Amino acid sequence: MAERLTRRAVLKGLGGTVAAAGTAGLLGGRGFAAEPARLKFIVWNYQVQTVQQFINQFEAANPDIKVDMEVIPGNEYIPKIQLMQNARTPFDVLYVADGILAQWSTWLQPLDAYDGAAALKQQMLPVALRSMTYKGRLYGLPYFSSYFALIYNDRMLRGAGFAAPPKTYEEWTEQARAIKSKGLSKTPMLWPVKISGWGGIWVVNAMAASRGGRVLDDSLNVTPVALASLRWWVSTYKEGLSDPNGIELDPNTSATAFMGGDYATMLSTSFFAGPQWANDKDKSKVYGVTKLAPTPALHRTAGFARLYGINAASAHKAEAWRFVKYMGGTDKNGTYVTPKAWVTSGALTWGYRGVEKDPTVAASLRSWGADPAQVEANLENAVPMSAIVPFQAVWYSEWEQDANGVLQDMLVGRTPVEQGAQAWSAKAKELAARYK
Amino acid sequence: MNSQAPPAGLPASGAPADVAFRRARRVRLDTPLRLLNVPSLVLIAAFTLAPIVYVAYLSTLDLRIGAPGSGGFAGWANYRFVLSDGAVAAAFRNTLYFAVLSVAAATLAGLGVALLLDSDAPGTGLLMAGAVLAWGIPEIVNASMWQWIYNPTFGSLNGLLVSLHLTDRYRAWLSTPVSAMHAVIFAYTWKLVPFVVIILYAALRSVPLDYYESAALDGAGPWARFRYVTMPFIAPALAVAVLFCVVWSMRAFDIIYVLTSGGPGQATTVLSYFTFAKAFQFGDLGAAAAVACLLTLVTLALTFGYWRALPQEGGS
Repeated sequence: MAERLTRRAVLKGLGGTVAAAGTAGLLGGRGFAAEPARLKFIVWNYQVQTVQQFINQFEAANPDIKVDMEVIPGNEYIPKIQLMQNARTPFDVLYVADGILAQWSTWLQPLDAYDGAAALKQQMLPVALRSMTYKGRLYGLPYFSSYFALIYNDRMLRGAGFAAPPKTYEEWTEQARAIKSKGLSKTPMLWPVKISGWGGIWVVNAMAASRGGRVLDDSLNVTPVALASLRWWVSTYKEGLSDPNGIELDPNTSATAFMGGDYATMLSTSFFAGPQWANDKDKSKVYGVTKLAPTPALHRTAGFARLYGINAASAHKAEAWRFVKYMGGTDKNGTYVTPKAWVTSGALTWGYRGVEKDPTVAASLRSWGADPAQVEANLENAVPMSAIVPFQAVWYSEWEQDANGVLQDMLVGRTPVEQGAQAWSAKAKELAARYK
Repeated sequence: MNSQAPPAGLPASGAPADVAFRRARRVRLDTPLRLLNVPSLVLIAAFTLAPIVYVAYLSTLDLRIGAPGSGGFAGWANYRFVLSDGAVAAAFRNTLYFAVLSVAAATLAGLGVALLLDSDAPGTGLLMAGAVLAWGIPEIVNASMWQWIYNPTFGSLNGLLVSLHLTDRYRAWLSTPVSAMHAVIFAYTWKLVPFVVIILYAALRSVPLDYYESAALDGAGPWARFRYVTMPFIAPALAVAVLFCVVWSMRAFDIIYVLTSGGPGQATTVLSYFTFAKAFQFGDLGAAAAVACLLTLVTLALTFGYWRALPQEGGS
């Protein structure tokens, strides 16, 4: 007959369980089977199911390591990580944006000395390698690298009588005027220029790079190339060719707006033309007609990278490196597992040479109208942000936010371009002096 | 106005013997009662005073993440820096404008709604439920809701205005300094009004009806009854409501963070957002702590000044 369930019986059972657990511990319970190392991996919220799949694959191949993923919303990511770091909250691996690398380099682990790092560096695209290197040290492996491209609505361009996207800035203006005059769009041009996050200044960087120049020179003065880019850009607002609502839009929300089909062109990162965004057949009104083109003028553009970094305070740095090497490099067979998978699942381009040659990758790019060779050429020639602005100065993020605000004022005509450029330069010099 | 005759056997209120008696009784009764406050005082010290002291300490340090030589004692340098920074001055002006307008709007709207509720007109129950519901919405949810309402491409405000033919195209409400600041103030006020309503409605229900009847017999009209009967009764509650609204408005953050991130330009950058950005986006913890301390001092000064300006109990 079963024992009657009483409080005393429960307490006895509880006591026995605790005693048994304690005895097992005293006898060296860990000795029976080594506990796997547990890595805490911090990510922002982009396709976390895909990331979890990668983690599952890694854990299956590496049973001695378990990875716990923690997701932070993208717009809170940097402040939250800084809070965690200040509070000494333990974590091992994390996503790092190249723009914050200089600040975070004080607590990120340099990776150059790890086994296999040198070989991976040999294969990296220049834009990826430079974006992940600070003061000569490599602080990450690429989650992805990308570039700014002209994303255009081919149907709208053809509707206005243009068989190809613009190859110069003047041509871009003419096409926009024609589209507007034919009533195909009230404001053919869309730009992501919200004050926070990457957007407005990155567009200027891409424009300056496309003309073969920089935004700020070594003396932190705004260059003539940047001024020319700004004047052209402001003129599109004055003519009513650019949508002023873009001031409220960051790259993500502007991509969503572009998917509504009311715009002809957008200068933004290449992946927004992918099947998860403008070429999403279920959500986008411009599915199948959104295409990628190089930026006008010299067709050069600005590139950047996101990376996997390791917390120098991690107690499992060796295991963390194995995980980072898998996520941002190759598996044990030397295959770029996640870089290839990110192309097909997220339209995120790679940080290593030769990935585009993979048949699956090439087919995925072609499926939404991208030319693998052109994508590869853009990635290969992309100018790192640090060659256009003082991207790796510890004060850069503060300058960028301030400059984004001034840029908004310039675009809508509240501040003349020359005055805005002077404000950019003055702020950069002020911050450089403070952080000298 | 509320004075009543003392119960039989006690001296008239205000007599010396009465004062001495009450003081002695208060000491005897209050000592153990005051001990009951100790746990809450400990919690306040741990979670409010200690962080304030720590932030004050941080404000004297050179804490610029990633900067060479950072980490040492900086004395007043952070204060000198932020006081000479034009961005801080602009944020201070924005903070004052935001606080004054939102408190004034919330007070007037809250008073109006409370009077409507007190009138027991049909539908006031629903109105009260709506007020409580709005008050119960977390600030971040309120901000996100207004972000959707103001959205320039699919926002419901634009949809409403277009469908009513009040405008012919969707507008970016948060794209110009003037409209952005007032849109933010409106969204914040919407969340603040229910608090004022609840406080004032409770005060209005405590006004004895016979005062209104007496005033009406003396020939007082609606305005006179409001001015000379209602207002004196609800003035203390109104003062408390305004005080809380001022303090909250001075440190408003969520609404700015979600709706504008301080833009366009620096048009809606208030001190609390500036502090956040300085500390956690730009890594200048020392300067951010100095701004936070200055904001605390300004809020304390405003609160103290306001409190001192209020009539004392028993005053006119």
